[in-house]
Amino acid sequence: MKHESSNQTGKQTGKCERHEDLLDYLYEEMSSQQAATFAEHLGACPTCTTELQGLQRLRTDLRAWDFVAAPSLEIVIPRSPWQALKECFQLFPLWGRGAFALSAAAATLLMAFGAFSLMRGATVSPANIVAVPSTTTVTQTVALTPEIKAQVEAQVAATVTTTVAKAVEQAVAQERQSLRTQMAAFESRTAEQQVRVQTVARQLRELQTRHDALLAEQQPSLRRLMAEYSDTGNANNER
Amino acid sequence: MEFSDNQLIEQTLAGETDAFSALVHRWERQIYGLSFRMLGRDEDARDVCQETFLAAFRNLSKFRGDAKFSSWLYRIALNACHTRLRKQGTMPARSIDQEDEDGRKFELPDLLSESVPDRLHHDQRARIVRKALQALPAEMRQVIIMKEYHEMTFAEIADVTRTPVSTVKSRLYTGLQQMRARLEKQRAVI
Repeated sequence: MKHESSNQTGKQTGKCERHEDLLDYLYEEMSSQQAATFAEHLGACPTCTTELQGLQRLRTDLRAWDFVAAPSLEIVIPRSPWQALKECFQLFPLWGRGAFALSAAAATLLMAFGAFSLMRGATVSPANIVAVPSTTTVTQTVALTPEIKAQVEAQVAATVTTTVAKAVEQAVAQERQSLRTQMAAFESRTAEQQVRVQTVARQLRELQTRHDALLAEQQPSLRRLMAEYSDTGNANNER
Repeated sequence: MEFSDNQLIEQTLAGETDAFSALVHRWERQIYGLSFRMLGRDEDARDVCQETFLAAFRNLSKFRGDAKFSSWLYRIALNACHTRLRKQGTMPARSIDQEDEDGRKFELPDLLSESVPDRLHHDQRARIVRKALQALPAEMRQVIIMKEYHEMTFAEIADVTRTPVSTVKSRLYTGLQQMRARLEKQRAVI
């Protein structure tokens, strides 16, 4: 930071224009060396000294307008339809999500299998369709040999297992991430609460000091009143 | 483990809305404080808070990681405050005294150890400070608020307001002097 006249330490008699230095000094944004130099200047410059005292007093006044905490705000962040769907899905327990994923995977496979069968049916040559009665054609189209059937079943089982495993893994990862975020938010809240507690404790200490000072200030008049009361009591007794 | 602002931003951009909630929770107090002191009304401050976080959420992908998230957020909030102040400028001005109901409920709670005269004295002092601050031009007011109540450095304020550090200092100095002159007149009351 530039200090235009940081080497000016001589006595100032008129108007001193070292406002920037004064602010840096006031808010402790100077290096210790610069602060020492400016402190030396302050010793010789009544203008800056008066300015500094005035600004320090003003800062004390400014602190009077303080509030401990903001009211709890409800910031509404709009969700995209995809996010809303995702959050809705996350409301279900893990097994529910697994079951949903399983059903979805099974439905997909069923559709794929159906499409595959239709395609196979479509590949039958028109000559065959003409030569053979329609019922026979259908039987030929969907009939599978035990080997192919076993192969398809094994493939379906493998695909379903992989899909479910992936879905469960994804759900667990999301759960973990969500927990981590919640934990972070909780820690942040705890830290803030601690700061608030410290602030209130500090304010309590300040109030206690003010209270004690006021009490000390009032003590002579209290003593005087007590003495007056005592004198009046004695006078009444004598009477 | 506490995530940094940038980590939470990354998580938000990856679709974790909870991460943005954590960011809101982390910064809402500061943004509310800034808005409340700039505008002087709880209702306006709440609206500005909402607008700020919504704008931040919508434009999060445009946020450049080389700047501080808080500076970016403060800038959005200040812009929202200025817009609102401009709108208010066309409407009849409200007296600060009429707004005390809003302001007072968020000031220091009535602590048991504080006597009634002390409390009254504190309230009166806070009201006078508030009036003096509200009487300043917005450019000076925002600098004083960020410096005094948010303990930001001159460089940080310059970053938020996108002005040179020398301008920040000049506005701060002039603002403080104006406040001082005003408060000195009422020193006897305070």
